[in-house]
Amino acid sequence: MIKDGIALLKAAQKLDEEALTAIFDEFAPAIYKYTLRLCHDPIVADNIVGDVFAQLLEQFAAGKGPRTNLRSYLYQTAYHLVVDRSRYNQHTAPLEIAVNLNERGQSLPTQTQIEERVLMEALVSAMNSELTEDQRHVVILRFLEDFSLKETAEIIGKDVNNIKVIQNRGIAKLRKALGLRLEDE
Amino acid sequence: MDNLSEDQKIVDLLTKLKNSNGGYPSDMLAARRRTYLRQMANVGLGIGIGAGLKETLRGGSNGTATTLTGKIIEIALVAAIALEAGTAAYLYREKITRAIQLYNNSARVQEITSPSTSNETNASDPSLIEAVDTPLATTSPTSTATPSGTASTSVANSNQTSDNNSSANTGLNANSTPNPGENQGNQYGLTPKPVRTTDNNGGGGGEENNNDNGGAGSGGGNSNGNGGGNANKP
Repeated sequence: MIKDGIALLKAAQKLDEEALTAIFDEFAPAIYKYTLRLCHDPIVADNIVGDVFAQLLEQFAAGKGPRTNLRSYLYQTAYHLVVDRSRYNQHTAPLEIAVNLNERGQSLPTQTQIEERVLMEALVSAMNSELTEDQRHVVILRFLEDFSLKETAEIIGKDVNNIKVIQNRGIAKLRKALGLRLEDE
Repeated sequence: MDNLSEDQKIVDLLTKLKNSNGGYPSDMLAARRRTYLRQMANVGLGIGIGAGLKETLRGGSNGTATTLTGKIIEIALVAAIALEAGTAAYLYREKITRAIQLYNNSARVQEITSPSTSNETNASDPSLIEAVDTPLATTSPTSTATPSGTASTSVANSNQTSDNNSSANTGLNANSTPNPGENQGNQYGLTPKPVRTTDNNGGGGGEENNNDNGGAGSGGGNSNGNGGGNANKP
């Protein structure tokens, strides 16, 4: 089993089956989650995951592909696919698919859990309705996928300072949208 | 400060949201993984074929027999190409010769026809006339022969007679008027200017015409001599 990231990448560039399988097992669930947050449709998210890894294979077969940061590369590919699809298909699935806070096995949630769930739903609703597309992408990549400013800038294809501005504006919009609820708490 | 604390609360909420989303459904993940492995196998097969082709193009490792065969085929191909070229050249030799002659002669015509010179210059420069006297002067098919019996001079006549009498093609041919029967091309400027020997006081008759019969109503041409041309005037 190849554990080191660079060694994994080099082996994958040589089309080593073990390395390619390890890459899929490591990154496919995360890419799915990220895509589901953006498009709110499990089937679309699954298709995008398939496209992301198919493109990765094609790039490796052509002697191209990522050289250093495989994770950023995969998210970048997913980001572009989501943006392309959203231009043609402007629909959103019900919020509960994206939030998915109904965990099995918890039949009786406590008062705190209920409040938190309501707050989360409000947050997701604000993200979908209040933020622009760029702001939503930046917020998701920065705070839900834990990418750095530089990596986020690479994925979206913008300057780091521009990403900072977009992030601050997005947070300010969310704060404004959730202001009343936070004051109530 | 309030904004910063509220921003921090938003960030905390987002961090909580990070762990709240559902994961990849296991059945979908398994199906996607199978598809991915199949694609991986196809790509690997393609890479194998590509590598094999590259190796073949490089010459491979089992070389001597392949190299010898290749050289024999190469020599045979070169010989076949040379044989085919020779045969084609032999079969179309006349056309090739004609084409080469046409190419060379057309270049000469371009040199001659560019300036418009006077008749005296043409008549006094035999080399030019000789050059134009080639059959290539008939490059324009619409042109007609200009020389006629009316324009011939004594010089021309003498040249023609010498041309008729002598079987050899001498330098005197340079001053001769081209035979319109052979050369139908544009003879502009080549016909020597007729020299008037007497004043033309008559009704437009040419001095070269000896038919001075007074015009027998033959159509009023100027060549009919005195009075003949005026007979048909209204």
